[in-house]
Amino acid sequence: MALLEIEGVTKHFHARGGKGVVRAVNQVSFSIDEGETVALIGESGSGKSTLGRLVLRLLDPDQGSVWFEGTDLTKLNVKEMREVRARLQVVFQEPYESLNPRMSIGDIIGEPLIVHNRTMKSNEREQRVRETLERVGLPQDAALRLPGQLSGGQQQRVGIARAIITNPKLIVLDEPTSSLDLSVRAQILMLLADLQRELGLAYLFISHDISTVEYVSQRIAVMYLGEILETGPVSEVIQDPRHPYTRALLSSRLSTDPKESLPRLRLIGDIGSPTDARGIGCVLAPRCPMVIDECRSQTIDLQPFGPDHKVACIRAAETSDVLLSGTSTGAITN
Amino acid sequence: MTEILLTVEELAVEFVGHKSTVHAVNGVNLSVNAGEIVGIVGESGCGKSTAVKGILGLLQPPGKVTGGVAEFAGRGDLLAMKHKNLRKIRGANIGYVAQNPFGSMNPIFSIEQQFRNILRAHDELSSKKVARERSLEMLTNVGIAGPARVLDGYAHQLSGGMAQRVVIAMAMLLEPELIIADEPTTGLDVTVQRQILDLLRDKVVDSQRGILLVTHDLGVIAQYCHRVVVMYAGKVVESGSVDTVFSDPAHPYTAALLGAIPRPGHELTRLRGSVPDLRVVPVECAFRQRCAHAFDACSVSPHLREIQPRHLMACHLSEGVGHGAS
Amino acid sequence: MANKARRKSSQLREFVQMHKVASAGAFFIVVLILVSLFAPLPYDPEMPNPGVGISSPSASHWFGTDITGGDVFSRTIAAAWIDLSLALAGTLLSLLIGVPLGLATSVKKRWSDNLVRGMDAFQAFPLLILALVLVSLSGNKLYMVVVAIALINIPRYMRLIRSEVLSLRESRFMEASHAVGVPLPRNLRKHVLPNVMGIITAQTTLTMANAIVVIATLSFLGIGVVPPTPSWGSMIRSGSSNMISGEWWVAIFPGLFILLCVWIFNQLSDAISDFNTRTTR
Repeated sequence: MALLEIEGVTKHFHARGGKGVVRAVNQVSFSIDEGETVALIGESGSGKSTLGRLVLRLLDPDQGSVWFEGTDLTKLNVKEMREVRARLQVVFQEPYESLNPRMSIGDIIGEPLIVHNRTMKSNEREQRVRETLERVGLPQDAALRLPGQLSGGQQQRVGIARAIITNPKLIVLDEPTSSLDLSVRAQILMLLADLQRELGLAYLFISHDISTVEYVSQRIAVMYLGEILETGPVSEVIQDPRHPYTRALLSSRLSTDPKESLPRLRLIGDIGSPTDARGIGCVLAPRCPMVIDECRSQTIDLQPFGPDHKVACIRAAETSDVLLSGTSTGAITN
Repeated sequence: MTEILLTVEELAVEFVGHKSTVHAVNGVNLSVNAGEIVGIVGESGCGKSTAVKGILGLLQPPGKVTGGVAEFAGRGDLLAMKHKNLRKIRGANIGYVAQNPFGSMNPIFSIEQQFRNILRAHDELSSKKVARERSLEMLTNVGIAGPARVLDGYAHQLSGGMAQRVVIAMAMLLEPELIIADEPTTGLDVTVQRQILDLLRDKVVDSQRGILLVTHDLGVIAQYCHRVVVMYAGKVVESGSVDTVFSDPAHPYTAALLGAIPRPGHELTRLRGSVPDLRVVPVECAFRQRCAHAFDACSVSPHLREIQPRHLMACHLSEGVGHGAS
Repeated sequence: MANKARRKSSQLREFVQMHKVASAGAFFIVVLILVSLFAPLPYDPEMPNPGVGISSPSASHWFGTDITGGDVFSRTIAAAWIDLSLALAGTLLSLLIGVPLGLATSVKKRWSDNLVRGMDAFQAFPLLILALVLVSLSGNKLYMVVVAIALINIPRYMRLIRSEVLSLRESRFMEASHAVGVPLPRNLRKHVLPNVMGIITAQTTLTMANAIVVIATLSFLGIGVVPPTPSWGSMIRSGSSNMISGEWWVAIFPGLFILLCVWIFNQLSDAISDFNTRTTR
């Protein structure tokens, strides 16, 4: 069985005053194997951060199961879940915000050991903290400092150190580099890749930036308005995107090569809101340039398209023919 | 003959604290011509936003401009002007788009009232009807479908992308010659980013205006700017056409920055160390401690000099040693 | 361990440097209490001296004498210990009850909503009147003064802690500690408390200021600390009738001391709040 397997996970939020439901996550299923990185890509409102929190059980799903190491996390009580957390960790987006501003770095990094290894002696713990500091590339004297005295990149290293000290199997990375400068971003990505190799970690890498995840991921899942529209090996999905949304997303990337101009696929209108009333049919239907009647009247599931490539689009086979050109094609933009 | 809209020379900005002074900007030189988009790129803390605010006289104490000249379209030095003259130019001749659109809008007033306030402040308010027509036209210009609804509404009802478009419409209302945009798309989704940038570009190319665009995103620079100005630790370290600088970066920092872009199969450049402390006035080159090519001459901060026509850089490597940094 | 001690002492030094006036004020209060408690006073504060009668400040009576011949200076200083220690006791009691109550109501938000609403209603009472009633009904027992001060200030602490903790709970590092698996008691102890300490301290100094005024008001009205025990409030009371005849010193000096102490505690509160916000970034 895979290290992490989520099945039919759904989370809806009810807006105050009964005005509408936010369908943050809708019947999502995928899996992550040991030692592998699965990237979860989406824009705002896609539900990717909510999904990350559901995996960590910082939120409880309304439906569905989250299987981690063969156990359904949704069925555990608080104490049992706490024990699992030693092996299921997280690194958040804003490095400074995720650290207690009044706690020393050494204490922050050592805390998971206090919580999960109660029998460990304090000098043993200090030793582990020292080793972890070195592992993430922080100087030993950082242990005495407060978070506010470190740079953004260093703060994120602290977040990573805290996440790896209990030897987890899976780390959920929620946009870990989005708040960092470009040169620092590269350093952190390399650190994450190194750590994965050394410690056999699996990652769920949540991001809005495909270029970032390309570097560290093996598989990718594309999310829009609470649903997964396409999954597959990173290279395959990027080179041959089969869902129109994936295509649009990839083509809106800004190439850093001034001579390279990627042909754009534009979707109609602005990003939908997860509160929009939806009946049956594809979530992208209101904006899709390839839409046909069946898209609105059928339930669209993920269908296999290749050995490991799945797409939730009934016209997946025709995507590449229909839609690419140097300027907008058959789709009106705002 | 391309018209030069803005020339900035040796701009310096300091923040005076009670314990120390931060030299946030320490020698910024750039120019913007009509019909071109110039991008200022740099990482956080390099001083790009501060520089731009300094040019426009938008710095809040304890920040203040301590040197330099900002010559605007034959109208004089923006840094030496009287406040009221600068205020007239701001809005009418130079439009400013700030990073957070919601910070630029007043939550209490309707959008229409805010447009009217702009017109009134520059003595261009004729009748309510005319003002409304002008506003509606501008909103349509920035690609807002249903401009009347937006005009009658309030800032909090807008999404990020819409809000940024409204702010751009406000900046363009009086048809300024130059638009200065500070990270106008940071935080917006990629698809929306493209729409906003396309919008800015279309307005410039058609009507011979200029845009000075501040960003940390190299993709934005590559795809939208004609020329780029690279900043590091308060100074401009390289500037030139985007094609030249990107294909053959002369300054080691530019090269390191371009090398840090994640690309599959491409080894990421390791850039060690961190930005120097700007509380100390740098004597040596600010990049020296992190530069793989540093040598003796680097103990003195290099000046910006032209190494090829319209390609400038501030690095001792340019002096006869040739540039081959990568 | 040693590191924590070192850090605390350097923090203290930094505070004193940043806020010289407030620190000097704090020092003054400490000295005042010590002097009031231990130093020998020129005259017995509780012994009237009818032979002298009322007299203006002079070399032998620095603050003059009141109508019973008592030395105003000695009485003022002696009153410091009583007024300030009662204020301190009341403040500590409200702290000891208010903070845990505030923590409890912010952790178990749902059932505590009613308790909080009850507290709000309670605060609508004119609490000074309540204190008045309680103290006089008890027969002017001093412990009742302490209880009254606590009653007035507990709701304030509760609300302060509650709002602070509720907003803390939304913060990312609290979510992070939840993700690490930190159990609630440790969470409160290590994450919540250190971050509310600053607010608690600032509020405590304010409570002190308020308590001093309450005690003075009560004794002014003849309740709580009553003559012959010296108290600033009762001294003002007796001196106020002298004001008309131009004998200002009997009331003014104790009044000045009240003013000074209240001002110092307010300054301290500002200084602590300021220091707090400055040292987290």
